[in-house]
Amino acid sequence: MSASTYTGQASAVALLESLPGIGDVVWGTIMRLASTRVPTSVLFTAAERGAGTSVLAAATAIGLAQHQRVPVCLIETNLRRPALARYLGLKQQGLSEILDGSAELEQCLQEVEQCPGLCVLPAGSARAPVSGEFTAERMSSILARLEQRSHYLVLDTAPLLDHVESRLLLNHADGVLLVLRERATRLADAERAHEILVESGAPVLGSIFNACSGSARFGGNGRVHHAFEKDLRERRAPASLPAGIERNGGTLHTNGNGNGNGNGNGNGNGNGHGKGKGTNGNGIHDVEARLPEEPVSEAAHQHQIAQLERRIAKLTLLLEQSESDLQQSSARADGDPGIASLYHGAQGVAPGDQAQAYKRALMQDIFQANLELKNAMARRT
Amino acid sequence: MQNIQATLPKPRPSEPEGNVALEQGILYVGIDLGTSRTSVSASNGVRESMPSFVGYPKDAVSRKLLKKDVLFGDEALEKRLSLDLYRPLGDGVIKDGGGKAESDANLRAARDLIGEIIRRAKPRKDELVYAVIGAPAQASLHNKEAILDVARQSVDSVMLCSEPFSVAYGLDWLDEALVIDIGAGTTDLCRMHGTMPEESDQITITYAGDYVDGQLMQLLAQSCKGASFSIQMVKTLKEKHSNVSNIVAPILVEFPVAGKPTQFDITADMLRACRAIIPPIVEGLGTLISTFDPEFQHRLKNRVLLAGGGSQIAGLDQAIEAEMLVRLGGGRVLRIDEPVYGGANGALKIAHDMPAEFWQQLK
Repeated sequence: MSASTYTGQASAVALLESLPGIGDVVWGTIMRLASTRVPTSVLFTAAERGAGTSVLAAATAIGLAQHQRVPVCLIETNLRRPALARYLGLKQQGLSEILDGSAELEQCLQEVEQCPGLCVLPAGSARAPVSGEFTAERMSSILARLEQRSHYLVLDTAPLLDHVESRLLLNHADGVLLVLRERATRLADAERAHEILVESGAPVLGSIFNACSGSARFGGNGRVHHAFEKDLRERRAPASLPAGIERNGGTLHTNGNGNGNGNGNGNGNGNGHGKGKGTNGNGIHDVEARLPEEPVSEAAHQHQIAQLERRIAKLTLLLEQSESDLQQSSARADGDPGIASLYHGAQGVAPGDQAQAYKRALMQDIFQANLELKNAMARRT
Repeated sequence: MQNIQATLPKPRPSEPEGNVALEQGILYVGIDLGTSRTSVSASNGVRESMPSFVGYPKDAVSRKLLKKDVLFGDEALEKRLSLDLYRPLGDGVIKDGGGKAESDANLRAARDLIGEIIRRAKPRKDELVYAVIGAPAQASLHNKEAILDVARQSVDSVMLCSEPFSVAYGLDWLDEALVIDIGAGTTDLCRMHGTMPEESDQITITYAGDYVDGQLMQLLAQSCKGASFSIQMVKTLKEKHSNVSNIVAPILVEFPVAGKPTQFDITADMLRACRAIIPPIVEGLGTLISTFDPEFQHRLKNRVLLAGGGSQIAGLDQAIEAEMLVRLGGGRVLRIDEPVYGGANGALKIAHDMPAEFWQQLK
């Protein structure tokens, strides 16, 4: 695996990491999912092109790697319109070359120097996928190998309505996020994309309303956004989700003026309310809400059983591999996992300390002196 | 002897960092970065101390033989003939003399030393590491920056703190006390009076462990005619036999003379060399006491804390008291229980008590 260097990479990573709304809503949703299953595969898709899927997927992957300090793998599967390599200053070689057999995974998987823990598999050379490529053994093998080395697998996929290959990847995802773009995504397209996801049995974590300014929402007819939200709320979620996935992830809403409310609970009943931060440019707006379940078709039921069986097989394989890794690690002298600290979380002067105020003042003095040192060093560099 | 030890409070729910409560494993680390020894105390219960030596194989053959790119502490000393050996901290700070190449080599060795001492604290990969490093009381700005610069490469957030202050903080001796922290390169004297010590409250002198080694080397060269010995041998002897008491058993050692082991009595030389640091220390105490509020000077004199590796010289506390009686009319000196870890324990306690938002801002 090669480490990439790129002069603009630091700024690109910083920009993506600070994308408004990602930390507030998206991580929370994904981390809840990860609390029940590791590795966790999260798939980003859109109704049509230009919604910002790649940017949001990259921002999420960077954020997870930076703030959770776990290995994250970002995979770009939109072979027709590669973007990640350009955004992150990486080599172009990627999935396209692996699938056509001209390169190996290890040659194409790239570390992002500015973001330790993040590996990126770019789409590679732009081309249309060959039929069956995404369902072939090779693709499953690539994903399985990447899952072995990651805590999170973030899949950036092609638009659902434009190309069929994204739908073929839904089976590999533990959660799906649908990216919509204000004034660009048409209501009908959003509805159709949502239908595809629901029908596929994919566990939809929510929708991201990108570039939200708080006024009009959908392209073509801005007046209909309320109707769309209502429509989605009335729409049925998959009846029985795989074990460990909440029917409703306690969604948060954010909008352009900084207020919002959310609907969510763990069993499809009741609702909660939350405040979201106001955003400019990239507002995250989750318009997904799930309602009480009702019986599903036999076909959907069978589909979910098959999906669960695949997951069990995958987990069994992972368990065997983990046990093997553990044995190897314990045999190695340098495999010391360390000793856990007494403290889980920041401490500070104990509230009951008789000299609390005095000690806090001393801490302030020490901090100030060190802050001045840090600033002096920064000025010099 | 009074029991003087630093302890850490029990864990409690995390303190909020701004608007967000941080609930991640945090390993607090206190480091005493000394010229002679580097010690660490960590919030996972690990305590380690090692000589501040870093060695790099001299050539490809050495590297192949040693099977390591860098060696530390006792191992580096033991295999020093195959190594380019560095003691990167001079007078308690990163050495900066001898041209750019040597300065760079010392920086590299200091970075590796800090990295190694952090590694020995056994942090888990999923934990943040917050460190407080004790620096000599009067380290220059340049040296503080150099220490911070190399430390940042091994930890998530780091602060520097005056060494004698950290000793006093660890023991809750924050008011009306004098701290004597005897290291290898320097002895720090610090006056605690309820606020953060200022420059005028601190005196750093170079009458410390290395000075004793130098004195002993000179005295032995004069008294042990024909004997051959190195400074490292002298240092080892000092660590084993150092004493300033009037009543002491004879110190008999063997040095080779023309290749033949020969016994020498070095008792008088040892006492003389070790006692050489007492007058300047008491003189420094006198300066700090005499410039303090006259009403409280007697309290300062009776709360003198003796810390640091150099404080392990047998009988030093009584000898300083005796010298204080002559020069200052009296005084009481207490030796801390764990001289090697006193600075690290105090730094650990500071790290623990530092509010979360301060750590965040210094990341």
